[in-house]
Amino acid sequence: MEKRELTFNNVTKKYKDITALDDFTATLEPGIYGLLGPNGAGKSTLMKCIADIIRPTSGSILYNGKDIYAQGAKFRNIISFMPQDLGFYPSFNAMEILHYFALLKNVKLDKEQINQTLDNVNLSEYKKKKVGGFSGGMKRRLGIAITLLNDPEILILDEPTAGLDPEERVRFKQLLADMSKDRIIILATHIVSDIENLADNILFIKKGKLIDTIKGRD
Amino acid sequence: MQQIKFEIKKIMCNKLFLISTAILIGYYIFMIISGIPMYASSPKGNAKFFAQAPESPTSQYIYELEQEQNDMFEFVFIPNDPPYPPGEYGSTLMEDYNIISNYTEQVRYSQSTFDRDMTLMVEKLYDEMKNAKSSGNNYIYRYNEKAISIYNNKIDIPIIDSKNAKGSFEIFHHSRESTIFSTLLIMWSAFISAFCYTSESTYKISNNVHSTPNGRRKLLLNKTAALTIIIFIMCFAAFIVEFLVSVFAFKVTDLFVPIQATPHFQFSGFRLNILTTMILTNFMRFIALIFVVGIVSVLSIKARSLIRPMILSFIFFAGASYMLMVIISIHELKAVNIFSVVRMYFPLALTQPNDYLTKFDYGNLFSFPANRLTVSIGVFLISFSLCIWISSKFYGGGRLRWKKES
Repeated sequence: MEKRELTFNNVTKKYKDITALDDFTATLEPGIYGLLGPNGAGKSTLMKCIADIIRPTSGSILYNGKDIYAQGAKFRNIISFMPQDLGFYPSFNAMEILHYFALLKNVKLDKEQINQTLDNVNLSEYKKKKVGGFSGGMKRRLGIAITLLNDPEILILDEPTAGLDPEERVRFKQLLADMSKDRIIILATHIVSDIENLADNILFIKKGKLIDTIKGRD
Repeated sequence: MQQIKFEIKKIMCNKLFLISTAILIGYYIFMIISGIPMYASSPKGNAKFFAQAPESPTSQYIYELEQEQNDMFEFVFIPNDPPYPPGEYGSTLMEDYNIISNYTEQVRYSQSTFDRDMTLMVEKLYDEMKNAKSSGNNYIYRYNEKAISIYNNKIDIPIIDSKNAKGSFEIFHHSRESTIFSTLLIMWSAFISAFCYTSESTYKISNNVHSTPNGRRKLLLNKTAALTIIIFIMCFAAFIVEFLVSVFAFKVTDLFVPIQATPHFQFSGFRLNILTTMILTNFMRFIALIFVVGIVSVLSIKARSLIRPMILSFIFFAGASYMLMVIISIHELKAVNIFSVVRMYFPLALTQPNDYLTKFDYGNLFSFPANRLTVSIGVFLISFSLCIWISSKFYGGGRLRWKKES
């Protein structure tokens, strides 16, 4: 199997007078990477750059040696991004949301698979309920289900455990740990305990700069 | 196809869509209902009117009136290019036409009223026209050569029970001319388009959606297809309503009468019957509303909510158009003539389809003879394609790339 490697080469992102990312350079291999930093450090900006929501002002991001922006939809096919602000169409139910995102992600899902996916995140009994009536935790679990739909090579998760109860948090961490062997998982959270027990490597970011990288749970 | 179904569901489940559509449909029904007494004829009503009219068989009376008018009109050929010689009553060719047609309309529509005073007015007009003819005052209709050649092109207009043909068609006449309805249609299309293209931002799902492989260009195309389907359903429903009202209120055979038998279209250069005109006018509205979809797709680029594209749509569609009308009416500027020509061929004008069919088929586009309908549809095809191409390049975080992707 081709070695998976995500490389950041002097990535800088500027918004008028604000430098959100400043010469960010790193190489990520399969495993879980925790992003730690204060508010406004550049964590979300970095994630959006990887997800091709925004483009860096300068620098490049390569996946297996190829520019991710040049690949376009081909790269987006192998990633999955769960943003911090998670919204849904209120008139859709959980099954419809999953079906909708499966179409967006080029994934063919039958009813049984949708049911199984909802079962994995403990939402089976709410599958026909409109998402507009979901709690924050239920929306987060649905977001996790969507993230895992296309079996991505790169997972980008911004505050994935926000709103989850302790049991769900443990379940989610176990799921990530199982998946991390051959995937690059980038996780941003304010909950330090989530990162220190889970992440293989922790990246400290401040004012857009990568300050330090330390080993995690090992 | 599945994705298009989801996009349609997103639009149709939105409360504002339901409210705006209800307003549009409500106004349309209001126009039909207000049109029925104005333009329709019932045997009961006609019996009352013709009992007061000079003794004459029903249709023969109307036929005589029309023949009198036709005898009074002199056809004069004029060159295709302006300036046109001034008319007896107005300073331009179109003013002549409007004055004459208003005068004759009063006579023609008299059959739809049951009012005693209106009956007396009709009789007075009839006498006036007879007196005018006997004293040698002729009304002059001026046509350009192309229009008259089309008009004379063997269109058989039978002597029919004209009240039915007129009624079944003219009942919807106002909806094809009304500026208010035309504006409502345009703004409704702009609104649902703006909502559709900005729904990801509105529901804070854009980061999730736009990071997927089919969450940009393909999604935009699916949204455009969904809007096209919704607008098609509305236009088709309008046609079905017109058809059913006409069939139930009047005779089915009247639908196959040439539109030249009706007063507003007597000088139309199109070989159409009433049924095909109903289909054509709804198709023209459909084209105009899809044009709006294309424009709004560009105005919605990078919009974070539907407010911005709605405001821009209002400025672009309603604001610019009305400003132009104000400028034209106040000033006679040479540059304004160019704008008025452009406006005439602008696809939005298709929301008032009567204009294309009632007046002369051929106009002059910068000294080139041009079929106005063909030009408008051509402008639509080019502009719509361009709009969708532009918006697909920028939708959802995409960038316009001039280099090929590796």
